[in-house]
Amino acid sequence: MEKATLQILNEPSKELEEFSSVSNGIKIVPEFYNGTQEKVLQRDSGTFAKWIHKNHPEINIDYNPDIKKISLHNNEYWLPLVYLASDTSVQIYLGLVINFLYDKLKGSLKGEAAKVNFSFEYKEGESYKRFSYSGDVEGLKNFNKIDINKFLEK
Amino acid sequence: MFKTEEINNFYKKNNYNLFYKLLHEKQFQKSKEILNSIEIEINKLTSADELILNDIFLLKQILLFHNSLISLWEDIFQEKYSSSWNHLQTCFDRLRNINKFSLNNKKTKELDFFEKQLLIIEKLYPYNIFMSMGIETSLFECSICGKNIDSFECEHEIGELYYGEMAFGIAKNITNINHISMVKNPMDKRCVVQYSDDSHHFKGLQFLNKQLISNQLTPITLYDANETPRKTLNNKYKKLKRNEKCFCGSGKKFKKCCINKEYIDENHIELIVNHGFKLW
Repeated sequence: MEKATLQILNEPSKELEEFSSVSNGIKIVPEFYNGTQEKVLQRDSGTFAKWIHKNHPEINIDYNPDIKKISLHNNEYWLPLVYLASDTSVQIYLGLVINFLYDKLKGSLKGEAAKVNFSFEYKEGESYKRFSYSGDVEGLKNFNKIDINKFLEK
Repeated sequence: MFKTEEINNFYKKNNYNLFYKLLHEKQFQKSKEILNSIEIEINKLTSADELILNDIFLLKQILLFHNSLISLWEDIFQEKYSSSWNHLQTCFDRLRNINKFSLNNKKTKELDFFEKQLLIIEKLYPYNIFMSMGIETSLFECSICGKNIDSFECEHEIGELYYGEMAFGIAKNITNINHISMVKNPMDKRCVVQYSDDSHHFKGLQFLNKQLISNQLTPITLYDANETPRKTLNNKYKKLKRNEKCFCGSGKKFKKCCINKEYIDENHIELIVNHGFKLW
């Protein structure tokens, strides 16, 4: 069962404001997770960043590989929080996530439904928004076909 | 299935037909000898070509799959249900690699058959909650080049093949165990609470064992399954007066609690055997 949320960020981080105005591409952002002493990245962050770097070299990635990682050892994909710059649309980013998962799930057994968890923040018009998704890959494909705002209004 | 002509030809010469026949006859020891002879032939293969080396990796995965398959069926035959679970999971790990690295992600019909069969067998086990750990690590070293596998400096991707070797990250500095949790969908299903082999939790496998011993089915003729929940008598049910307190301990009146629970839903799997089915 997929769960998607879109929230308006009343107090966006300075980092997001700066990144979305002056930079291009995407920025991979560490977060606190379940009581960690410092901000960490999800285990699949490096794999995801390298996959984009290799398959979409036209997309600029702001990413620090030396940040501590947290591995959850469950059979789900946990992608990092990402800031989108103005030249990277929501649809482009969702397409990246879907293609990445498609590539990584080629070995799946019949009936194995892969689950993915990720969030991204971006500027739309004058407001900053955060989209979060937790669910199966099939459900995610629906978001790539239609406008996220319209879908979540239903 | 393979990307190179050389390994395709090798596979045609060193196929598993005799192995399947012996498995069908439950001649486990002789089946292992067949696998040993295939292994000797695989170990003679050498090349400097990356595609061929990757195909040799695939050959070895297929061999290891059959090794685990025989161990799984042998354990079920010998009523070692608890350890058979690990062999089943190893079969799945090998099948995932075979799916991933086969040409166009398509494997042989024999391996497709076993994937379907083993997914049915998995449903006979009692495990549906697993242990999982959250670990904080500052560095994952590449198993091939030794660099930080999460950096762009390292050219290798986790889980991909390079000259017949799969790249993975070695956790070099685990700084904290963040949590241990119970999950439904773990990375490794081997982390389970163990039951003894004579436990009623293994009743599905105990049934399979009886069918195997009495020749009602074989590792080859277990062909399919129908899953239909059915009603079964609730052993805890007690017929009470409507206004009495319910037997389940909820504190509610019987009429507002378990009055309709004389029969409860039970998972029911009907195994379908095809005696005419052959893989050789």
